[in-house]
Parts: sequence; C-alpha cells; structure tokens
Amino acid sequence: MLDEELERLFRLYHGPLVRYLTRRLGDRDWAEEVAQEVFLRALRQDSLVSERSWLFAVATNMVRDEARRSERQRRHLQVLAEQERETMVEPGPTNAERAHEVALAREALQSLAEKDRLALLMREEGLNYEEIAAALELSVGSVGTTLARARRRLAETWESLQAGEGRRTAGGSDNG
Amino acid sequence: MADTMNEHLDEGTIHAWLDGALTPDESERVERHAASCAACGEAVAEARGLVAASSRILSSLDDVAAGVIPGTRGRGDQLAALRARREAARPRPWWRRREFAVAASLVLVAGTWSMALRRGVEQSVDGVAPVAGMVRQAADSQPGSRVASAEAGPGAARDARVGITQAPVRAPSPSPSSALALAKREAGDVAGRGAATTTPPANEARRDDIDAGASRAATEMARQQAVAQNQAMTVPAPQQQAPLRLDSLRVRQREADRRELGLAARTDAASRAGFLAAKAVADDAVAECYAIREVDLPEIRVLGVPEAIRLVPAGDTGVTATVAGTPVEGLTLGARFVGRGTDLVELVVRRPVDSTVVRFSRSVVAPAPALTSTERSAGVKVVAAARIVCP
Repeated sequence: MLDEELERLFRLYHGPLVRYLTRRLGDRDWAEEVAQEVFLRALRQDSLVSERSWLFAVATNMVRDEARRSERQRRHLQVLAEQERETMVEPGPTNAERAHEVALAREALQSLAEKDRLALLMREEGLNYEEIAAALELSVGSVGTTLARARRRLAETWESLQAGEGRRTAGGSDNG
Repeated sequence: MADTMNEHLDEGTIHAWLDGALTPDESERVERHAASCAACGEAVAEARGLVAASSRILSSLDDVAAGVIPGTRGRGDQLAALRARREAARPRPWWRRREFAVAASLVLVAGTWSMALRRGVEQSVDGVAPVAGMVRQAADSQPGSRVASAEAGPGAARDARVGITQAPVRAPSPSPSSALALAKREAGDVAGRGAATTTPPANEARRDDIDAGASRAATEMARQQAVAQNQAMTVPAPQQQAPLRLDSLRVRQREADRRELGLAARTDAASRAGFLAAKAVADDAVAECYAIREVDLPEIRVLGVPEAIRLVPAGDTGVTATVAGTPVEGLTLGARFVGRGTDLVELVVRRPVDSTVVRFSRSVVAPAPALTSTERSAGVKVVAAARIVCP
C-alpha cells in the first residue's frame, strides 16, 4: 500500500474507528492500540474492496477474541485503568457528574445484545446499512430492525437507570 | 416494510428511512404513508427521538475527563508510528536479517574477546556482557505458549523497549551491534512474518490470536524506533551499560508485573508527550468541539465530517464557530445560541451557492426540541452532535 493510500485511509477512518473502539472498550489507550493493529493489517492487504466495513470488522473480531481470551485480565485492566485515571484527574465537582453520566451510558450500552450494540456503534460512526451488514454478517434487510431495537433498548434502559438514580437520590434525601 | 398504503410501517423500516437506507421509491412511499397515517407519523417522531437520544447517550462516552483526554497523540504522530510499523514489517535484505545479525554479533564478541586476550589486559567482558545478556533475556523471555512463528516474541521487543527507554540521550560512541539494533531486527522479523499471509476479515481475528502479542510488541518497537531515530545512534557504549542494565532489569520487572495484570506499560516517551498534550488541551477550557452525526445529510457532509466543529462560547448570546482541522474551501460558518440558555446552538453553513441551518444541543441529556413548522419550512434541521475532544 502506498503512502498516499495509507494517509487517505488513516485520515478517513482513524477517528471513527478509535471512537467506535473507545465506546466499545471504555478505554481510549486500548482503543488506539487496537486501531493501530487494524491499520497495520490493512497495510498488509493488497487492496480492500469495502475498506470501512473491513476495518470495523477486523477491529470487532480483534476485540472479541481478545476479550474471550482474557476476560479476567480485561476486567482487571479496567479496574487498573480507572485507578490510574483517578490519580491523574484533577478533582472537581464536574468530574463526579461526568463519571456518573458515563457510567449510566455504559451500563445502558452493555444491556444491549452484542450484535445490536455493534450495529449501533457502527452506525454512529457513519457506516451505511450495507457496510454494517457486511461487517456483522447480517442481511441488509435486518439492519433497520436491529438498529431500531438497539436504539429503543438503549434509550429505555438509560431512562430507567436515570429514573432509578432519581428515586434513590430522592429516597436518600427523604431519609436524610 | 409496508407493502401498501394501508399497512402500518414497521419500526425497522422507519429507522432505515431515517438513516437514509431506503431506495428513493421506498423512501417516497414511507414518506407518503407517514404523512397520511397518524399512528405512523407518531412512530416516525418517536423513532427520530430514539435516534437522537441514542447518539446523545453514546456521545457521553466520548468525553474523557482532564488528564486522560483521548487523541492527545496527534494524527501525525499516529501516522508516523504506523509508518514505522510498516517499515518494521517490510522484508529485510539478507545483511539485516536476524541470523546474520546474530552471527555478526558473535564474530564481534569473539573478536573483542580475542583482542582482550591478545593484549594481555585484565579486561573483563562487562562491556559486552550486557549485550549478550539482553540477547539471552530476549530468548529466555519468549512465552512458551506462543506459536513457533512468534519466536522472537513480545519478550524480545520488551527488552528492546527497555533498552531504548533507558538509553542516555548522549553517548560517546554508537554501537551498531547493540541490543537495540538486534531487537529492532527481531521486531522487524516478527512483524515481517506476520505480513506473510493475507486473510479475509473473518479469519483475521484467528490470526490475531496467533500474532497479537508479537504484533503489540512490534507496535511498541515501532513507536520507540521513531523516538530512537530522533536520538540518532545514541545507544550507550558497552562500558556504560552496567548500571543501565540494572535499571533496565528493574524497569523490565515493573513492566512484567504490570503486564501480568494485563496493563500494558505506558512508560514510553510518546505516552508522556500524550499526557502533556492532554493537559494542554484540558487547559483550553473555552473551546468545545463537536462532530455532527448525521453524515448522510449532504449539507452536513460539506462540513468535512468527521472533522470537528469548534465552538467558542461568548457570553450568553454569542458563539463563534469554525471547522476544526483543515479549513473547508468556500465554506463559512455562523453560529448563535437559540432559545433560553446556551444549550442549543444554531449553525449556519454558508457556501457560495447556498446555505443551510442546523441546530443541535450541547447538552448530553437534553435533546434539541422539535422544530416549529415555520422553522421546518425554512429548512432548519435538527441534528445530533457529539462532543468530542478538539483536534
């Protein structure tokens, strides 16, 4: 692959791919590492027919396999990464709120079935239905249904989590 | 999909329509049906809300707190690292191959030994030992569980990384036979072997099982190579390596500990630079950057998505907007807050021939309210925008 081709590929897809992986993994550094691996593999290909779906499919498979292989380590990694963040982040009132928002969003995202979650994350990065179908080995016709289900579930779970938090807060205030 | 005008639209079809995934004919049919069927009209409105809400919820995962802001290593750095990795993956000429390098090292060691003996000087081989030691460590530390093709293994690269990280910036005499040079070749060979096969996506992950470790090691190698190149041949001379070796071992131990826990050590210069840059970005608290999600809208595409829109709020009424990153030729942006508060931003995108107005909410939890019929007829569009780290 030529330098120009590499630049083009990188410029077009690096950002979306890292964001996709960050949302999936919850760890930016890890996401960037995986993205590097994906691009390296892309460089080894003579040509890519559907480059965006190829990149996202490879990234998805890499993460899935690594997660399967070392689920225990991954959990440990997340804990350590959180700890590391805590030591680096300046304390402030907004950090707690942000962390809470992120935690709610992550929990809501985790409540989705794997295929639904991936389809939604890919769609958010601009992949069209054909690309999502190719990357996840779905039929194009089922992507709309998959996305509809994913979005509904995400929003409803997020709302119920939010409502639960509200009730807890209110209960805490009442008790206090 | 509703086959006739009398059948209600199913949710999947509505989402496909909103995502622009239907053919023009299908789109027209859905549009007509939604306009004439109250229930489907409501379903479409609900689906719009779900689309926006999903984007908003997911975008809240992107905003990382200060100190660990993502993307702090610039695109250029990432690209440089990738290029370095590609270099490492290229087939190497025979004189740079590992076998030859090892042979050359042995000749050099033998030559040094022989000269020392010949001179009758009571010269220890400490100067050479660290090199040989590191080579041996590289061989010893290869994980047995890896397949044979990754024989140089992460261990070799780890040694190399330590060697580079710990290298003093200035050293009197470069040593081409150093552990650094050898480890570079090792990493090159590992990556080179990885490049020997090409497989479709479905098989990629399986191959990843095989060479993920080696490849990750090569990543670090490549990143370090870039740093090392800047330090042009500043590998310490052999006689200076005794304390270095001790430090290296300590670092290796720490790194091995962290690796055991699944945490890739991030002690390299690039990471440090990344964190410093992150801090700098965090300090720039005024600017906010957003990426507009509806990339299928042609009027949005002109913004150069995924390039970011950079907003600088100015009081309660004003906001200036620019396209972050490379400027888009012929495009000007105007922006203002609309409604009460400063959550709702209206962006006017002007091109030489036309202009468009999009509206989005800065709030993660509160979506932009629905448009009035006047606004809609004026062509204003509500879009979802994700807060991102400014490039």
